[in-house]
Amino acid sequence: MMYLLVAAIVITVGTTYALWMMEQGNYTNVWAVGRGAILVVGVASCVVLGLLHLRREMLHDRAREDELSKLKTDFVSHVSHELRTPLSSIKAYAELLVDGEATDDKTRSEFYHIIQSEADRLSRLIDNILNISCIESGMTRVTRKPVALNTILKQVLEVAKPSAREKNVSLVDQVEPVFFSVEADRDMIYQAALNLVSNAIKYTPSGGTVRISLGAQDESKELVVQVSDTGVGIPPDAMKHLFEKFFRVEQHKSMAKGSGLGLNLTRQIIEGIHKGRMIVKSEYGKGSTFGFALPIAA
Amino acid sequence: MSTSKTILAVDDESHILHVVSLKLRNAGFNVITANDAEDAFDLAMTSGCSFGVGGCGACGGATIDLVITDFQMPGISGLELARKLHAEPGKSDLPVMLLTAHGLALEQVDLRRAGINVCLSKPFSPRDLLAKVDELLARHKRPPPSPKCAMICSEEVAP
Ligand SMILES: Nc1ncnc2c1ncn2[C@@H]1O[C@H](COP(=O)(O)OP(=O)(O)O)[C@@H](O)[C@H]1O
Ligand SMILES: [Mg+2]
Repeated sequence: MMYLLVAAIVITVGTTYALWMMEQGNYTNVWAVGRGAILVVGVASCVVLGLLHLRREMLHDRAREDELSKLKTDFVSHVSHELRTPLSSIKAYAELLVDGEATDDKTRSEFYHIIQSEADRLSRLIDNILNISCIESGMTRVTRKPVALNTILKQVLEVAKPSAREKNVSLVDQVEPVFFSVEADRDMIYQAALNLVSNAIKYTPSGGTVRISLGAQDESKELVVQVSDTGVGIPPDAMKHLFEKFFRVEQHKSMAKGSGLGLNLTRQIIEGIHKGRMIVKSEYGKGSTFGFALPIAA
Repeated sequence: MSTSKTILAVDDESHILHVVSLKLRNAGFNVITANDAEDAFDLAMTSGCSFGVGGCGACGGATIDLVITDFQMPGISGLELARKLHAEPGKSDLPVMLLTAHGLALEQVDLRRAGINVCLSKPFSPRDLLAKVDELLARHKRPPPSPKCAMICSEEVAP
């Protein structure tokens, strides 16, 4: 817009000046006419540049809009796919049971369990989608209070214990008692920490170790929660996609079930709502460290 | 020898694979399964006489009469699987049924171009699936085995 304005002013002044010069009969004043001509040429290029700039801006906006609408349709198609998958199992197994196609007790009991676990999967998915959508639309009620991270982490450890034991992964508690607290929403931080711990257990093969630590960093005035595992790690090219909705590392899909929403939600909680930062380090084949840092309450 | 038709079922969700094969087996079909499209392709290529070029063991495998495949799987998709299979000599009219959780997102044109005969949307009813399978198989008669294959088989079977 600026280009056009400047161009308009200069063009008016320039032509008026040139015309005035000619009117004065100074045809012979080649220099003056030349100056007028230079001005006109300058102005013309100004106009062209301005128009080009405007066009580029419009194209840019269009591209951004396209990208946004593509993101939205991607989200909808992903959500519908992810919801339909467990629902298909529930519906199909229920129908076979109704039709009496499961002929012995063992098969029937297997079917009931599949229906139950797929229903759980579906409800976890719905929770995650709702949580993310509520946060993104600003509808989540955030209750900030001073919270002690040690107690939250102890609870997370307690809840994660059974699944770790089941997988033969040892959970190591390195949560040091820290003096400071953070100003945060308790439930959300609990959710974030639990997501990281359950990921660490999920992506660590039997016999591995998951360590949970809490420490205070004096210089940066933050509390740091870290969950380190001796698991499968993350291929370098996947690192930049980890927090995208529905992203799952291709090589990991067969080792654990998931929706690819957990890390996105965790980051929204930590960075979006609590102004903290996420920590990710990984060595493919060796293990990963996920964590977050939150500012210490004043 | 059993005259039952053989169906290849492909899905990355083991629960779906399980329920589909159970329904079809109860209905008297012979079912083989694969967790992804690449495995499915290999299975399709080594089953049946006409492609058991690598050895006679393959001659023992039944010819696949129908493929039921998921659309979105790690690796290649169900559509590509159909395209790849149909590009193989002798498999150009192998009936393929798509079982997909992407119902609306797929274009009819793409389906037709990939040679998908029937598309069933997830969540699906196993009863409907069976009905569609019967219908599709009735429409498609098994092509007669190629003479060359019959030859290889009889040669191998002869003592
Ligand atoms: N501790 C970890 N070790 C290795 N890979 C991980 C770890 N945590 C997350 N990932 C990778 O990041 C992906 C996204 O994580 P997340 O959003 O929690 O989804 P999911 O539901 O698959 O667990 C996972 O599918 C996995 O591939
Ligand atoms: Mg799938």
